[in-house]
Amino acid sequence: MDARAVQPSRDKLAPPSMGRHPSEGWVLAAPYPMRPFTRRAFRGLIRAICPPDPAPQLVDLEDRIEDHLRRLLRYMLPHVAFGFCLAVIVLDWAPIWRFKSLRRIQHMRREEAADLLSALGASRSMFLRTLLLGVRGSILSTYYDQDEVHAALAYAPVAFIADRIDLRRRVLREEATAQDRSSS
Amino acid sequence: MIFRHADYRSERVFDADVVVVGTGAGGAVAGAELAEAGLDVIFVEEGSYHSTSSFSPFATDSIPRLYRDGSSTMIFGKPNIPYLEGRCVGGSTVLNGGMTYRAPEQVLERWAQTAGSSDLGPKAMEPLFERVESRIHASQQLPVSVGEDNRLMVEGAKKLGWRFEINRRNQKSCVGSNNCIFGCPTGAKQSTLVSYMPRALSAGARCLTEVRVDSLRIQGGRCAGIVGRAVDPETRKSDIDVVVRARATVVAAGAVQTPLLLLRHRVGRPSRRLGANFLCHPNAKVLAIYPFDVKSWQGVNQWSQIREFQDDGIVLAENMIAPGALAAHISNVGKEAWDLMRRYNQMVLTGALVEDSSSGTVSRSFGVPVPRYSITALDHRRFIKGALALAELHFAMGAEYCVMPFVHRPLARSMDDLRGLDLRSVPIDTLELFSVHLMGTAAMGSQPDGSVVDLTGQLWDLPGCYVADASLFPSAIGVNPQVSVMALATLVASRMQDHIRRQRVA
Repeated sequence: MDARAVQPSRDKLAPPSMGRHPSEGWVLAAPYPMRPFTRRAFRGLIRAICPPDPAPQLVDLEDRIEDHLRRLLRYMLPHVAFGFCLAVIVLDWAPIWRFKSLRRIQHMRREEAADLLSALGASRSMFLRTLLLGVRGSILSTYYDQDEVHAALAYAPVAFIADRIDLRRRVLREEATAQDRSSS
Repeated sequence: MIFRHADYRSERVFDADVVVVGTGAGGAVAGAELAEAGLDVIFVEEGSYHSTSSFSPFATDSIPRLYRDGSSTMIFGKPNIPYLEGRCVGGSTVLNGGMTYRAPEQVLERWAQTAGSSDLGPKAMEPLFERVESRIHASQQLPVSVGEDNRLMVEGAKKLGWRFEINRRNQKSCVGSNNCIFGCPTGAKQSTLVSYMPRALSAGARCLTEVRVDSLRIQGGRCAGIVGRAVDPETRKSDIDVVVRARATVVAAGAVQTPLLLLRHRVGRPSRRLGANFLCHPNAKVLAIYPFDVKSWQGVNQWSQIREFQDDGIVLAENMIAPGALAAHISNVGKEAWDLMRRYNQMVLTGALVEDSSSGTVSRSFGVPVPRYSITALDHRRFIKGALALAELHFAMGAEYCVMPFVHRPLARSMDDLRGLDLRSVPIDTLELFSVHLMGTAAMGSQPDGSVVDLTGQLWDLPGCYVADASLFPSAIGVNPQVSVMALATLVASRMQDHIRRQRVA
């Protein structure tokens, strides 16, 4: 058997790293292949869906979101990943098939594109809403998971959890002491 | 011992008394019970092993590591319902809120009646529940773990004179880090990753991770193990065949994946109920924005449940999640999304769980599962009622506005905005729902024409193949199912032991 096989200990209390991509031997998948045509459409949607100023504007925002979501596509069923790419293209062309503009999302102004996608999200057609649901949800989820955005929201989970881990250690110590006293 | 993808280059065929497919609430419990009884057990898990110390609060890290299909799973129907499942050692118990409610007595009586046996009745199930609860430390939270959103819910219920219950959770000195959905980084939540799996491994069980089970090995009309393929972590392609030969096989992959695997072999024929009776406890969420900081992410994920409407099959609870997870469920984009999300610290996220009044199906199409489920007019009414009740509570506690689960009526600034809402103004396909409780697709019973497995958990038409997960439920239970799954898995394991010992002797 390979030396990497591990034996976990019961109720392990090793200090968590709590960083991104913990080095535990697990490998994140390589990015899902995407054609330049689809990538351009995808980046257009990222621009339209992510919030404008005063929300944090990250220099490499499109790279970060594209990289993460292309890796995430690897974890989906192949037909779902393919459907996601197809949805990206269909949504990019939405202004044209909705008769709202002659330009695709990637060539529209950010606010104009966001308005069009908002209207699509409130469409009467459940199919159109579902089409947008996955793309919008995954882009927003990635954006709102960035450190800079967490800071702007005054959300500091790493410090909080580290504090709670210390608190739990103290609670466990106190419980053990109380148990010792009661048994003696 | 835990095996990973790289290990299968040198060892691909394994022998055991029992192979257990899945390591969640069903599989880990059944496997641990069997291993502790002295049987040689091998678990096969599609996901990877992640220790408590590797859990983080980041959605982008946690979703690919811990969730099935990167959380892209969906139930098709009216309306479409996204659902979530775990895919890691510990399964969904690593990601759930940790509620430990037993199936209510009237549900167990109904099960006993449906299954035609008192084995599933309240009296027979009592010792099983007790055994499970002691192993997962089912208990109430320490006061230090309670957060402001938890208090708001309870104060709101008191103010309105509604019944509520303080939850018992599977936790050991939980201090409310509120990271339940991405794995508990303090080790307090007693998921099967830190409760049953270590017990099983200490008793000599082996766990083959990163292996997807493709089919069952069937020899001479008996199930004799599984055939799977290891998944390369980098390409996500299945590349190495892995075979486990065993006297008995326990399928505990959840109410969607279990029928998917069994349907490949055209079993479940006597009743044709395999994949039918799909239940999912759909939820509707109401997001309240308060004019003051609540910081719901500081404190336990769920402290209480409001039971005022339980007779109508509606349970209300708070359930705050990280911004990366919450943002996936909002309906806005661009500036509108920011205007909402920038008030993250003032949000309280709550949900109305509705007990199913009908059921759907899980079928197999081109090798993938297709869950189908549509809500009924009764459920439709109950979702509107549940969402309005949550809004009423939030406005009573001073909320500025509520984001409702209705596509065309998303905002309410007071109860006046919600007056006159009815089935017509909120069409059924404009409800925004999601699900985390999947049940019922291989129901247990005493008659082959009305159930998929018998009262030992064994398939009526495939000896040696057992089911031990939420698929066994004959009906919905209206509360969080974790403990009931574990109790049924304990029951199946205890009955299997006799079968296997008899086989060994023979």
